[in-house]
Amino acid sequence: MALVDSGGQAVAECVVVDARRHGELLAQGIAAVLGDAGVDRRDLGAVVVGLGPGPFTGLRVGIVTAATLGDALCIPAYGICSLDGLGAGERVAMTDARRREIYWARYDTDGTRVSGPHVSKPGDVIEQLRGVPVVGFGAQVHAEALVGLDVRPEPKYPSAPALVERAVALLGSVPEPLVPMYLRRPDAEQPGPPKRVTA
Amino acid sequence: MTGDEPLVLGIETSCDETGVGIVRGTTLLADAIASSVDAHARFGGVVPEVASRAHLEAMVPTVHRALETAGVRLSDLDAIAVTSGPGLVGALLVGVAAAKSYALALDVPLYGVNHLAAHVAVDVLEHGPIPEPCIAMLVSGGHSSLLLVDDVTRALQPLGQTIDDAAGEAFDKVARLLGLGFPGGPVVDRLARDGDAAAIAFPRAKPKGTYDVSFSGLKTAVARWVEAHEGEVPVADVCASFQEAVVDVLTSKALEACRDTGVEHLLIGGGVAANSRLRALAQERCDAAGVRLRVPRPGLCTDNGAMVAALGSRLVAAGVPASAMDLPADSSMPVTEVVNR
Repeated sequence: MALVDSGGQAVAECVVVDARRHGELLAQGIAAVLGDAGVDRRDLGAVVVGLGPGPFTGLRVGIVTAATLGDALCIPAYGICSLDGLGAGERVAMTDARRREIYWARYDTDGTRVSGPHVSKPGDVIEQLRGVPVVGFGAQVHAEALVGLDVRPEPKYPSAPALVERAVALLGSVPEPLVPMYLRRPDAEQPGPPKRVTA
Repeated sequence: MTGDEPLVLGIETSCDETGVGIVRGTTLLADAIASSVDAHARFGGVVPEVASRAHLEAMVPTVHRALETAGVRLSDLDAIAVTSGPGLVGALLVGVAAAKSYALALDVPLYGVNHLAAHVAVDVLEHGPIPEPCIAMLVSGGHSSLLLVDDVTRALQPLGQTIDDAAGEAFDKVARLLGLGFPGGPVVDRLARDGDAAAIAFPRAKPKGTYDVSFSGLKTAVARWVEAHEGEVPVADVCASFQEAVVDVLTSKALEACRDTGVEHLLIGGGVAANSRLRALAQERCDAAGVRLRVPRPGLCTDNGAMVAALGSRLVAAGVPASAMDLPADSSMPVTEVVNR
């Protein structure tokens, strides 16, 4: 999480890489960032949140936090594709989708997203990603399946200030509903008929 | 805050209902619910990911429905309470994150509360102060617990619980094998009214020396009986006989606990407490034993936000310290813990 002033400068930031603890850490981090910057919560002008793609549970924690914060403070909450906050310029931004898959999106030279976000098996997309710098920890997790690509060591994760930067153009507009980019349907299968209990 | 009448908003997302309730003191002002039950029906049970997605969509709109009904603004609130466990962790987290964010933005205390304690506390809204001590029987699709309640703001003492299926789960499973759809409780209750509860002698597990119960064997016995039956299955008789076995076991154990502890009040809550036969038999047996029975109206027995707000209000009034901002969702929160800190 980060607090960014009207000039686009990050005045406080708090980063913890722990995909299992968003529920515990996020609200506390927001309070800490406000405290560090000496900013009253009522002075906030907007909230920006990553809409994913990413692990569903953490994604929902972020989105519901942004939605309710915006609601309670009567300020707009803008959603941005999380991959848009990973790197800059021409690139492929890639995060780990687990299940041997990647989330990825492709950006042109002026940083505009031209493809994605997608969820794919690395082997299915490797050909179309050749020759473009690949950023994000997902590329390192799946390095063996991505041999031959131009994988850069940094940046690894989407950053909150970068998401805010992408949202600047939206400030003042009526925010779109915060719809998570799940990209996958829930795992649930319709059951067959009940099993017999007698032989 | 008007004297000792705190205005509390309660959020409940432990399973498939997004519930937001608003309580002033012990007065219910609003109880808004968005249920995702229809989305689960074709899967024959609650799918956690489907429930979590629905909670996220429903959260802010449900809060606003509650505020409108109550005729209050967010800035009027004195505290936020939320179910922090037990329940489905992904579902709980949506409510917990929302509650934290409201508490932070409004600068009011946050209470992460136990779902089962909230099922007990809700009756204050309908029948006044909770009689303490009392025996509480909480029966739903996820729980079948017998508890001794000395002070609902402090701790609940577990006396017994199901060792396998929850009572509501047994209703769902029997409904499924009879092809009656999901959820099973309401439809079995309705069909049982036209059936003979003595038609089939289904087994009743009442182990001695424990307040634990078991419904897995009963469920299998119903399946065996239905499979062995030739010709058209007498659905109403099966429903009535099965239901009678469940409510017989539950009420026997509850009254046994009252007798053994000398406690004169029994409180029943949870979704299965909406069952008409359970309510009737519990009343009959309590009357015979000189025990005073309290059961909230069905809408307050099933999961809802009002129960969370009701408990939150009690906690504020009792001066119980609030939860911290790093409050976790605890899917297996013990019933001995009323507030998570």
